[in-house]
Amino acid sequence: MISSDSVAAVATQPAHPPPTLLSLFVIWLKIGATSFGGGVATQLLIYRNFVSQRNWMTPETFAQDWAIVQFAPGINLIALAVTIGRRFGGVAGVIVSVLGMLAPAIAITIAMTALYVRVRDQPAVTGALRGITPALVGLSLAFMWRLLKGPMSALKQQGRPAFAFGVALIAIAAAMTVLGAPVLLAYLAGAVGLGLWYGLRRSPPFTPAQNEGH
Amino acid sequence: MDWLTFFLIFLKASLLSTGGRGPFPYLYTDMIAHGWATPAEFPAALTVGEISPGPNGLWVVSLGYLTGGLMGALLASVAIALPPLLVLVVAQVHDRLKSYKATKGVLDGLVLGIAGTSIIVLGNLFVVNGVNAVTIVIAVVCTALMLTGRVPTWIMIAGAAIVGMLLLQG
Repeated sequence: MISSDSVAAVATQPAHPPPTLLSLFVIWLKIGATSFGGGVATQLLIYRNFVSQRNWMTPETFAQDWAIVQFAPGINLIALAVTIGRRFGGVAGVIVSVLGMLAPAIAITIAMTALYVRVRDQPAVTGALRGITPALVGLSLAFMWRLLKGPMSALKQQGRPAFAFGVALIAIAAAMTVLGAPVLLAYLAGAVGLGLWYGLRRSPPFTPAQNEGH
Repeated sequence: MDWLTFFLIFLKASLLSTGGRGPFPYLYTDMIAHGWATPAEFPAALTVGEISPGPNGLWVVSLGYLTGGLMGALLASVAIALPPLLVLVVAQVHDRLKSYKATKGVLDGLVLGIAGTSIIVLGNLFVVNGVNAVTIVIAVVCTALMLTGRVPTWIMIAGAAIVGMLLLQG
């Protein structure tokens, strides 16, 4: 990939030829098909392919892209494929990147689910699933706890009433869900409640950069 | 099967959430309310998502297959592929909005709302699955291990599967 004269020409800033659409597709295909182990493993593979191995992106650009995709709807890793794909190939880059990342992974996911459907009624499988379910609940609760840390410690710094207000918003969303309110409405209760709280606060304005990128 | 409604449920869940597990509360409430999914299909789909390659969020495709066969899986795939495209818009909007004090409030408040909702939805899944000493211990241990951040999730899931096979059959 790295031609000797391009390295010699710009020794201080290695200029790697940008990826073609085909190489972009092949790289995402590889990432999608080999990234067993979920989100962090996939993120690492992407970093390796675009930053450490080929220098197509600086660690800073990668970090910026990663911070932005946190705000995107849907799966963050797909949004990352979108931003990186556009960077190197515009609309076509987006399409080959998303297709490459998802096509093999989706095919394998469907095949594994079909396999599960065949054995789902066996006692060993139902038993295993009964054990996995509380594990997934625990993992999700821990994940939720980590997610809450940023917003709740920011409220804590503002004093006890702010913290109590935050806890109340969590309780309100929970109560709404118990009562059968649509999920979006419960989310909005939290967003509007705390949005008003921050918007109407008289204390010095918050620096918004503080809690991004976790 | 009303495929349009099916697709819109999946699209809404992906569009109005972020991250791989984000669609879970929407899909859990909507799909069960329509009678199209059973609670047990969710941990099955989530497990496939954990062990298959690619983003964990592909568990949604697995759920699509479990509830709607190949057609369901394809519709679910389209539903999760579209919303992340909005990242291109989000980048610009976020740049413009981040100067407002209320923006941080809205984003943080969203997390509070998600937390409150998720606690109930996860609690429901836990209860439906069966509350006993074994399931309680599994949940507590996995929460604690996950908080330490040192044990890969697949090891916890594999461990829980083995415990379940041995102690939770029948």
